[in-house]
Amino acid sequence: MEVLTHNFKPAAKKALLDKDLSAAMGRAESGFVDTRRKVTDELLNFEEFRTLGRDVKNHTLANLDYYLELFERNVIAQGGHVHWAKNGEEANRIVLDICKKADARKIIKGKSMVSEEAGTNAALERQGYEVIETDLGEYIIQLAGETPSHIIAPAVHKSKKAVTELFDRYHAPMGYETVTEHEAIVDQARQILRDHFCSADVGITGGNFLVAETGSVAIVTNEGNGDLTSCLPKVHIVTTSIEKVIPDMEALGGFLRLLARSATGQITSVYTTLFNGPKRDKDIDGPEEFHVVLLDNGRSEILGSEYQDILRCIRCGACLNHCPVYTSIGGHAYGWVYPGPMGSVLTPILVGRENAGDLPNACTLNGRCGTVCPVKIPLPSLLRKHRSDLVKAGSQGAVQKGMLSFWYVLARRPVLYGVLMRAFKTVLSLFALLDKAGQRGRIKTLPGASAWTSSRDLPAPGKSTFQALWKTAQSASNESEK
Amino acid sequence: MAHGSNSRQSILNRIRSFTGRDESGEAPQKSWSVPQPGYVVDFTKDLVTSFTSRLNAVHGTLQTVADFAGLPVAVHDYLSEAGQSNVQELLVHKGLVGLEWGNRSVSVRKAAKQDRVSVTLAFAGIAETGTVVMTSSSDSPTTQSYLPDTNIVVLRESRLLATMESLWPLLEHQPRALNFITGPSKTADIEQTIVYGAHGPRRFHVILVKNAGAN
Ligand code: SF4
Repeated sequence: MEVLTHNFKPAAKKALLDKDLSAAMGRAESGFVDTRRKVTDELLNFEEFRTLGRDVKNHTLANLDYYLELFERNVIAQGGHVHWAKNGEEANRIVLDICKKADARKIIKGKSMVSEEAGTNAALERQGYEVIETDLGEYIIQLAGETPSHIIAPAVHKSKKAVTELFDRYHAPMGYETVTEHEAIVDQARQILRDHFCSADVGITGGNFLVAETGSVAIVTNEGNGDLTSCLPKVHIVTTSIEKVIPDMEALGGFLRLLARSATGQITSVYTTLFNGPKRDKDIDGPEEFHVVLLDNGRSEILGSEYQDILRCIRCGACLNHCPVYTSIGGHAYGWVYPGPMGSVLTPILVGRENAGDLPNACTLNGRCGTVCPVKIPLPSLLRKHRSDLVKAGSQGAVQKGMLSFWYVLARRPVLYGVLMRAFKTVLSLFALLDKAGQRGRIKTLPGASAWTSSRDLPAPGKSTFQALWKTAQSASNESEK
Repeated sequence: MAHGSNSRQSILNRIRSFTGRDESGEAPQKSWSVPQPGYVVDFTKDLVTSFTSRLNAVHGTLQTVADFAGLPVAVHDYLSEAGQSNVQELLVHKGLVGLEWGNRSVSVRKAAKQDRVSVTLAFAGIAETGTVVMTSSSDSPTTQSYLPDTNIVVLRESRLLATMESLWPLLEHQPRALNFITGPSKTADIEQTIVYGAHGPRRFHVILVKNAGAN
């Protein structure tokens, strides 16, 4: 997928002013956060599972070569094929080759973020293949010519009305009616996609976990599209990446409990499937060929680096749903496949910091992402690490540099600092008083700070400055010690 | 391995420069075990109740029959209730072909677009999550679980397990596809509103067989 991360600031600004987007994101945030809380509370030792998730992933990464080779051996023993791709281009070449050999025309796809990363759809379409996404959210954004805005809910930014219009444009010429209700929309997509499922030559899915001990590829879905994609066409290709491997079924059970809860607030997804190679001798259905494409694309270079923890990520999306920045601007502003906190950590590493330096800087360091991550990735410290690396590389902007040096001078002169703060507080309080539109305690408009106030309020200052409060508290405690 | 064998080597080499392992390296020692999941209500006490409440919570339904002979009547009643009484053909697991199905024909074959009802036989059930476990084989085609609008799943009570962990010792070998299914297909991709029957079955009904005999 094309990298547009350098465009982050203007894209974020535009997103903040988009009313439909903010309605959609608000809905998503509350939905995901509440349901997750309920199901994680219900599993009393959820924390123990998070620790397990962290430990198993760390163990696997520390022995990654062993588990990848074990996985490969077991897939081959079951009659499947394993292909290694150092980058997206190579992954696409492998997929194209398989499709060509299979004499394919139509290719159906279940959701795969790795194939988004590689830009597989575009590569296939350039060669004249018909490619159809079957996850409802992916299908919608494919019609719209967009990219996913969330790693598990790709069309989370779209309203029902927008979907109605899209379906009208593409389905009406095929003789379908206008559909305006959720059920009718889903039903229409179901009918259309069924025809595709039953006439496709190749099915491509992602892989959530690769179980080394058995050579199994595990996927989870709620719609069942991944299963239809894999069992109807004569060829099944899994596009996945090297860090998805786990040792055994025991570990899988632990991860499944973490994933569904963290991702969609479910006890378990409707469908969890383990694929073990192609159709067997007497089987009535299933694919004749089974391929796994293992993408590296820079991951092996993260091993042993200070950013290694991000390789534990199981792509649940919880850090996105709990991020105030993501839920305000949506996924597209991030400019590449992976948005939100995990994207802000991973993208600069995979596409280069010079292209994606603004992503870690957008973080408010509130820390919620790190608290919810099912595999305990210290996202806030990794984001801070990026920032400090950016500063070391001298690539922060002139304004930021100027402000920081100004603050550095002030912070070492407490008296001057106090005077300036008090003056600043008085001016701000005046604005808060004058701000008729503002509710109590908030400032809606502030001359010279419209970049801030056009998309959010500024809190009005409190009664005293921090320094004054500190002084009072200190003298009070000195009093009591006497 | 015609593909990417150079890449294979270079990726593995890079990983090995970190793990310090050589190609003949021994299996690493694992140092964890999966904790027993703990809930406010102990779900292991009464597996049938736990299974049922999980299943109902995700819009799946359940009824119980005494033995396999009672299945056809139960299927018939369920289909009438679901407004599907005019269905002529049932796609079934091979092990169910010999039952007295009355006027309906039964077939063991790959499902197609127009097929309406399947009666499949689960390998096991999992109480913790309300899940049925399907194993693909020549007797049990995977497509039967996904294409028909209505999926009726027969589950032997003796095969109802507490957790996924109790399943692994029972599986002698990995089938081509091991499907864990928990309720009807659904999506929340449009405005977070749940709609059932996204791509897979709209109706998901489990019939629990109390005494499955030697089956
Ligand atoms: S970083 Fe953690 S919370 Fe975010 S998607 Fe990955 S696993 Fe989920």
